[in-house]
Amino acid sequence: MTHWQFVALSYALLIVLLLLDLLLPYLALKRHKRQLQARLIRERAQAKKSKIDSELESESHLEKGASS
Amino acid sequence: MNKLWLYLNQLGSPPNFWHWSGPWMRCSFLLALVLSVIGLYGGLVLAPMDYLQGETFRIIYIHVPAAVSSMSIFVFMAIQGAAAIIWRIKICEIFVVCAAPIGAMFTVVTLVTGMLWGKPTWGTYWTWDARLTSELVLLFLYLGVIALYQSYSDLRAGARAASVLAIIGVVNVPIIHYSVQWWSTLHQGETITLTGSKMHASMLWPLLVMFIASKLYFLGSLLLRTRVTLIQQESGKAWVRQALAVEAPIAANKAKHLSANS
Repeated sequence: MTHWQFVALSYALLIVLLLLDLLLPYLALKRHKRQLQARLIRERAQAKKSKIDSELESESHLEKGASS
Repeated sequence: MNKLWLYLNQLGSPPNFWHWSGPWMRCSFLLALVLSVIGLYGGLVLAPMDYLQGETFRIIYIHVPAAVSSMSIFVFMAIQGAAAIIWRIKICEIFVVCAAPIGAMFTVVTLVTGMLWGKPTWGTYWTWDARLTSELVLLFLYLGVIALYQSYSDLRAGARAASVLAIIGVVNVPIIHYSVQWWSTLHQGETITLTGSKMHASMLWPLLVMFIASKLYFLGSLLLRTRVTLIQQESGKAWVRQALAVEAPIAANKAKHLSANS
């Protein structure tokens, strides 16, 4: 191998390791954030739905009371 | 003193850390990238060829900053480990476990680039020289810290055990540093000291730029890894929900925009 090939190999190794070092935690952070945000949106939707359900239920109770 | 202590404690509290670490991480990575480009241009293009080693001397622009980082990160881990054990500061525990993979990566870069420099210069990839062997021991210490942390189901207990190993293992750092003085080694002695340098200025400045770039990279990578660990450990806490609740509509809008475009 020539001297420049040794140099190129060293720099290639550095780039590969740096990319691995950066990419793995970056992807993990993205994944965690996505999961937590999805959970948050699901919980909000659930809360909204249960609020509407309870409102509808109270309305129907009132209607029943009025008719009787 | 009390005010400073209070300020540092507030800075290290998980919600505050999450808030300030994002911009600092991006700045560190950006500066590291800019300085690396400048340093590598100086080292690979502008610096003249070494009269004895030829072009292979250009490996030092990654080998030396990586070697210094591999040692300084372990010292950083030992200091953080001591703070974690004495004052039970959570963020210090996380710093110890998050710095270990970065330090291990720098140690691997040091060892492999040293081997690639050694073949054309010494005629061999590896020799059981005091400097090389103690650097290899450092790699095992890093791997030990990572393995010890992951072997515990209780993450905080694992982090404290890893901190103890970091404090014990730091004794290897002066051994690496002074090995070229204490023993007759194949590895060369110090070229740059506090009093001066044996290198010509045209070869020295890219090395100094790469030193700073490697430190900034470490800072950025440490902040990134700490954010990941923090969000993993504190996913059920109110501040995580609050922080993500702010980001959620932005993420939802982005997704909508992307789907509308496609």
